[in-house]
Amino acid sequence: MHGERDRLRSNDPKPPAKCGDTITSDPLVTSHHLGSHRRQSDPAREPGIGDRSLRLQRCLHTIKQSAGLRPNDEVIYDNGDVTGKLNGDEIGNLYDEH
Amino acid sequence: MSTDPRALPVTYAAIVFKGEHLDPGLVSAIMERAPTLSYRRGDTYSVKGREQERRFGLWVYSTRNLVASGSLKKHLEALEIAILGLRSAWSEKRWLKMKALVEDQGVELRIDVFWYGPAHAEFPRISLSFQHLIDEAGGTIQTDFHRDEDATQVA
Repeated sequence: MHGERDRLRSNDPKPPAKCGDTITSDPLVTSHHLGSHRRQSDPAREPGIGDRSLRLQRCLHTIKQSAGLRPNDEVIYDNGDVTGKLNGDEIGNLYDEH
Repeated sequence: MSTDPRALPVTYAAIVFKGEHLDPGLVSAIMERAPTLSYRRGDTYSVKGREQERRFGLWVYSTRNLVASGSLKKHLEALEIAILGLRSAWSEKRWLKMKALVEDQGVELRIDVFWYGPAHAEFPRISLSFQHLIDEAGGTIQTDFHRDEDATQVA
């Protein structure tokens, strides 16, 4: 619901992603964003290997919540770095959250 | 690539208290449970090696690792028990203390609800009774709902 409000920017390469590899369905992301290494999934908790969008949304939800933001607060994620749009504070990194 | 639809939906919910001078220990005492995450104003945290200070206090109690169910209803029931437990006869004072936090001390109370379901699925409904409970407590409900495959489309 809110994913479309979160903007992605920059095309700089980034090390292999953990949950960051969830951003691949975004048309603005080029292939060099995609890490070949993925975090090991916990079969008991992860629904499958194709859940990139799910992981992204869960990461964003966790990062926003941890930073005290509301789920519908806009953020910018730039190669994994997540920044609150309102105050410009960097609030987390998609590669650190899972 | 989409998520295996048999594994969806994934859902959880959380009680969140946030306030400039929020004392997480006080909230834990009132709620009679330990938070999933908490910090107070002035606590330090690190972003890219730079230490920064928290500008407010936060207390979060999430069902994510507590309730193993794809039913949002089950998760909200867990939160309802956490809150309604405050409203038994013997704990009326605690209920009032929680309301006082929100109404007198300017603490924000909200329920964050995460739901990620199959493409074309209907978003879940939050019962009127739960909405009424949170409303009565002075809080709000914030939904974060997504469907598979359409969640990361950029406008």
